Amino acid sequence: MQSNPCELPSGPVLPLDRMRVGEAGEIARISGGGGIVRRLIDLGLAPGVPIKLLSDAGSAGPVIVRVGDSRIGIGRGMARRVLVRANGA
Amino acid sequence: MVCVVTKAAPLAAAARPEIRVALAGNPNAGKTTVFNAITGARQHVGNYPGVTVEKKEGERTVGDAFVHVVDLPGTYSLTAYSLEEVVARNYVIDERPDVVIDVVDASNLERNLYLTTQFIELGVSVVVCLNMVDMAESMGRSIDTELLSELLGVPVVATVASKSEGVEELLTVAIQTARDGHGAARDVRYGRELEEHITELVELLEGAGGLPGVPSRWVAIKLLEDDQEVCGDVARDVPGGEELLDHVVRIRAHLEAVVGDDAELALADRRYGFINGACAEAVTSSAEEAVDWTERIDRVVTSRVLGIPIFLILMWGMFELVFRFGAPPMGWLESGFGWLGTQAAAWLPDGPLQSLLVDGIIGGVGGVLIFVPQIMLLFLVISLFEDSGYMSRAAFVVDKLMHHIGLHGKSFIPMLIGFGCTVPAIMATRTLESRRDRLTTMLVTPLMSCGARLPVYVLLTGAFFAPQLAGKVIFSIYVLGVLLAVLMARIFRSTILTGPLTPFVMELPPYRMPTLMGTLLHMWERAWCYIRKAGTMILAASVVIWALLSYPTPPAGFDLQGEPEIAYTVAGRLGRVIEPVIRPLGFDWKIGISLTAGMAAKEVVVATLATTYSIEESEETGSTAVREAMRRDPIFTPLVAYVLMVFVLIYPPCLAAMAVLWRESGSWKWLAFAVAYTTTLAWLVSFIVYQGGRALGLG
Repeated sequence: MQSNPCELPSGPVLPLDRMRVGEAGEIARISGGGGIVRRLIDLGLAPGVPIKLLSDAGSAGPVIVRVGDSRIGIGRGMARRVLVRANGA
Repeated sequence: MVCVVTKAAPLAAAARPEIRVALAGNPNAGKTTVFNAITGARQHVGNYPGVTVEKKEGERTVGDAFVHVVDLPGTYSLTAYSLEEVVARNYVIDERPDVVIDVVDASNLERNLYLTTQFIELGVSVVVCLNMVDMAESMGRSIDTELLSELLGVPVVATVASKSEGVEELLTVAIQTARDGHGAARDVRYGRELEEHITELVELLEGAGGLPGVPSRWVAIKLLEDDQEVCGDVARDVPGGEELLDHVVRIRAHLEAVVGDDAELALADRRYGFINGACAEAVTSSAEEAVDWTERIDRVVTSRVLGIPIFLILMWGMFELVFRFGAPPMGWLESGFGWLGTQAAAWLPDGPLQSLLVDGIIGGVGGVLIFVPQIMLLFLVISLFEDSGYMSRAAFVVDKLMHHIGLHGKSFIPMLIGFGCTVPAIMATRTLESRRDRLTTMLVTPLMSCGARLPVYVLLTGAFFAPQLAGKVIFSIYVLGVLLAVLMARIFRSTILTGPLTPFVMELPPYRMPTLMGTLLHMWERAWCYIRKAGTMILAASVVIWALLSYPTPPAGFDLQGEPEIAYTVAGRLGRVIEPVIRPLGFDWKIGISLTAGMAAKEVVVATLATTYSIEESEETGSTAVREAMRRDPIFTPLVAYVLMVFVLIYPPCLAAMAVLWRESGSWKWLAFAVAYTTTLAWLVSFIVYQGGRALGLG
């Protein structure tokens, strides 16, 4: 498997649920398959899209992210599968 | 050009007198507001064939055109993820409306246009309704609709549907587009690599005849996205479909190797690229962005520390409001019906007719209608939660807790509605994507104590508990219901409905000030379902039960052996038959009659108790009299009254709720299961409470 050719020279790639509240970045990859990935795409979460973590319910709880002009709540299990390249801050 | 249109129009109108418009769009884009603005009061609600997704339709005459509008369920895409999306997609494909009005939230343009690109790909005539432009402007954005229209290749009309601005123009453009179609819409181009495979698949599909009614390009893209419905259609309807699908699997593997992503991600990337390009040109943002209130409120409302306390305070406030402010109007209604009963008794001569009217109808239906204020208040608060945007935050906040019972945050919404009425609550489970989650939620929602059960609690606590205790007693029943729902959900998820937890994904709409009209309408739709039930099912049940409780009368000179006359009636005999089963719960045959009658609707338990006791001691009427009569009955102790409340809480919901459960679960087996499990659970819990209470010396 090849890596994305147009990689940006910025921060490390980490799963969404490991970001800090207020931290922003860009979606690098969404793993896992089937309907749920498509649902995330429908809601605006696609590779290359800027994303910001707005809230985090902690431990097993969900997170809220901002993509474009919408806020999406995502369960923890799914949030782990969204990889984000954090803006080098 | 104009000449052609005016000439063609009457002809077209004659050949096809009706223009069929489908209204589509993302949830929260203001679709319903646009629908109301177009059709006004000329609308009716039905169901899509085969499924219970609500179908709103309306009519409108514009000039010589008769416009028929269908409001499709809100969808994020045509990917057929939830039931509502399947319905929306199939409607557009199968019914081929003359034009689709795609309602787009101007303040969230990119995400909303994603659906638009899919309609364009599907090859239908689309008009974009750029709604809530005022919101976008307040965010410092102005959108060049003409340029956007040019970039997308479809007409774009700006509207503020809440103020009816632009709606007439939207209609005019939609009618014109329905008659003449629009110019070539701009398809998204997916880049050389993807386009090669799309072209290859299009050729293969065309060679085999394609799928009826949809462009092969759309089918090819859906195949690359691994859309299960379309894959199924191709396998079934296209000759050599199976081999074609095998080929698609190979292409997807190849694409993943070359592009480094799943094909659906690569396609999405291009689509968003196309949209971003169009928006970059057509949208100008002023430098300063307005303060984002939603984000500020969310920082508090959804925070790790304050989220749960705020949620609990709001829930407490809701019940406090319902019970505190609902009580006075309930008292007025109660005295109103009491007065009505006395008047009727005074005007009519003694006899069966008076008894039917006073004891049967006024007592039965009135006993139910007095709770309308409380139910309206509850639905008012729920509507405020929904319309303001808080409801989805509540789902977010409770998601973690719900995980412990094997459900996620979204299941909370039907359960909350369940405190009002189980019927809309079961219908609200439609937003749950997984069937297992839906079924589990449907099965436990009846344990949320609905408004119809409240009359039973109020009557019994009023008769057997001190006023200062009554509130706490009723509260304990509500808590018991919630605890049982939690327990049963856990049991179901680990036995008959096992499987992985579906991921929680949900959009949190921006906070909005609810409009008075919108909230009242929302509240009324739900409250009406309760009132209608009182007017139909409960009215009928009251009459039937009154008859069963009155006839046959014992012949003159018959020795009743000290039993009241009612023991001789049909209901009395039925009660006797089931008495052995409910004896261990402390119930006698009279309670048995009420419980059987309560299968129609739980409110009927009160009506039946009232009828039983007022027929028995017919010197006085009114609820005080019923309480007095029950207190005089040696079978009733505070413990038995409490056990009866427990039983009423748990045992099968009313006929209306059962009918909905049957329809929504799609199988009478689930209905049978729900009835069996709630009956068993009701008996078991009541048995434990009664025998436990007696062991503790309470009975």
